[in-house]
Order: sequence, then C-alpha cells, then structure tokens
Amino acid sequence: MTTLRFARVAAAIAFVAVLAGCAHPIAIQAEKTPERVEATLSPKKVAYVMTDAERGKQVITPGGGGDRVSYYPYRDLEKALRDTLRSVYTDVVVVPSAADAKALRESGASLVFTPEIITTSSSPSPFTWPPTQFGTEIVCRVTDAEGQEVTRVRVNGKGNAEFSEFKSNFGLAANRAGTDVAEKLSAEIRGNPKLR
Amino acid sequence: MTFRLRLVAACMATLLASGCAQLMAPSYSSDYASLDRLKTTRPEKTSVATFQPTDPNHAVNNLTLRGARLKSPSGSFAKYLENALIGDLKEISVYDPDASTRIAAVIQHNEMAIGGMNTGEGLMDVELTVTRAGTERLRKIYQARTSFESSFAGAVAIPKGQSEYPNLVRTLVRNVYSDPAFIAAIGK
Repeated sequence: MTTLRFARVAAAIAFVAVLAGCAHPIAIQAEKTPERVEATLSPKKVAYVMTDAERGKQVITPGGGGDRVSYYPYRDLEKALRDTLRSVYTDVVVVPSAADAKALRESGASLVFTPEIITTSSSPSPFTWPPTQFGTEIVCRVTDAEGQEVTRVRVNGKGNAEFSEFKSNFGLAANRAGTDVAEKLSAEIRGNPKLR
Repeated sequence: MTFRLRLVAACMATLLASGCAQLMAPSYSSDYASLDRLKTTRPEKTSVATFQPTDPNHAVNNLTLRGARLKSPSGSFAKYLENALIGDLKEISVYDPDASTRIAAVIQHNEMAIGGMNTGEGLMDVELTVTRAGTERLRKIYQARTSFESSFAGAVAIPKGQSEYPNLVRTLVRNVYSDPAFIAAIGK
C-alpha cells in the first residue's frame, strides 16, 4: 500500500469513526398511553415527582454498528407516566420534590410517586445505528402525604423494531417499550390494594 | 478497487441510517408544571379554533433538517400546535368545543436551525388571540427560542433537530400558560 493510499484509507476510516463515536439522538416517547375511563377512576388526587434536573438528564446507551444513542428518559416519558397515573386516579399533579412538605400539602395529594427510569438498548446490526431492541424499567417509590413509604412498584417494558420499519422514526423500538411499560405500570397500580 | 468499493459501501450504510429520509416529529408532551399552575387559576371553559395556516405547503408547515423533511404527525405543524392546546385544556378539564371563550392562533415562524457546527436552535413565533362571545380579550405574539447541542455531522444533527421539535412547542406553550395576560383572558 502506497503512502498516499494509506493516508486516504486512514482519513476515510477516521471520518466514519468520528460519526460512529457520536451518540445519535432519538426520542423515546410512548407510542400510546393507557386509556382514561372516568367511570373506573379512583377518586384520589396523587402527585408524581419530577425535577428539571431529571428532565434535562441525558442518557447514552448502545445502538447498532458500535454506535450509541442518546435521549432524555424523564423528559420523553413524563407524558406516559402522567397519562398512566391519570388512567387510575381522578387528579394528578407534578411536584418538584418529594421532600417539599409544603408543596405536597398545597397539592392536596394523598399519594406521591417518585419514579426512577432505567433504560437499555441494543441492535445486532453491524452497519446501522438505530436500536432494534429497547428496554424501559420504571421503579416507583410511593409515599403518603407525610412522606412515609406505602409501597414500591417495579415494571419492565420491552420494544422491538426491524430496520425496515425505521422510515421516519429511529426511536421506534424505544417508543414501543414506552407503550409497554406504561400499560404494565397502569395494571400494576390498579392491582395493588395499597394504591387504590 | 474491491477494497475501495467495500469501504464506500460501509460509509454509505453508516450515513444512510439517518440522512435523506422523511422524518416524523415526535409527539408533543406538555410542560406539566405550568399546566398545573394554570389549572389553579380556574379558567373558564375554552374552545380552540382551527390554527393557521392550514395550507400544508406553507413555509411554517414545511420544515427541513439539512434537506431532510420533518413531517408533522398531525399533517401540518399548525394542527400539531392546535392538538397540543386541545390536549392540554382537556388535561385540566377546561376544554369545551362549544365554549364562547375561544383561542385562535397563526404560526408566523417555525424553524429548526441545525446548520451550526456545535449548536442547533428552535425558533417559533405565534400570534395568539383569545375572544369571548366574539369580543377580543387578547391578541399577542408569543415567541419560543430553544438551543441544543448539535454537530457538524448530519447523522447526529438531523435526528437531534427531529427529537427537539416537541421541546420547542413545549417552550412556546409554557410561555403562553405563564403569561398573566393569557391567564386573565381565559379567566372568569
């Protein structure tokens, strides 16, 4: 290999490596959220905790081809979380901290859900970066208005998508995982007598 | 030559994973803290007019991200904003399609600017009008400006611009809900 050819190949590999080294942004909102049926709602008012720092927290996990994907789990899944709670309870509000007793008192909430969101992603493809498998786990610590723990709820959602489906949305597997985890969370809360 | 062809194919496969496609804007998610605050002001029941411009070929309904078209899941970005407002008003039990208090809007500017090397920007200007029983209570232009980390590489900048569109609309709507003039216009 001549020096010139070697330099060209090195430059091309470096260019691809720079792209590969970047995390590709995706949005991981749920495709659908649980339905709210007024006749079946618990008459409670509940709150969930989400801070601006959490909404601004970027997470990076693996994609395909050695690439990575980046996204904002709390910002993107807040609607799914809120819609899930609204599918069970009459009234839902957000509070910035579970430790802010004054804000909790003023909200009038009888239960406070503090969620932790954990995500995983992967793809077996050697050439394309969008994840074809995505996992979303939500762990909620539930406390009463005085801050005493009532229970903990943990659900896992999974989403799969084939590359041929990524026509206009590279976060499709994640969107499906969001739908799955929201449905499971709604069912888990409904099935827990401490939360009705 | 075979080696060169393989290299080009690998580069193309990497790049095609993001570029040149028609991209769909992610679904809207509200700024719930400001929406909860708006609810505490006990607004009147409110309806929402058809937001303008409805023409899908109008510039504000045609966003591009370095040549890749960003489409609205609602058909147009005016409809995307209209649906966002309706969803929010339903969320706080204020929406009533027959209410005499009515919100109308015209999008004047709508852009995701991702030409920069490191930073992208979202820009939106909307003229919003509130009427009650035909009498105008508010006419005001609201602006939203967002900035986000971007890249010279289209494979990063384009999906970043796509994923940031809901945040631009959320910022605009938060500015509206937090405005005392808007709160008074839909208030009792």
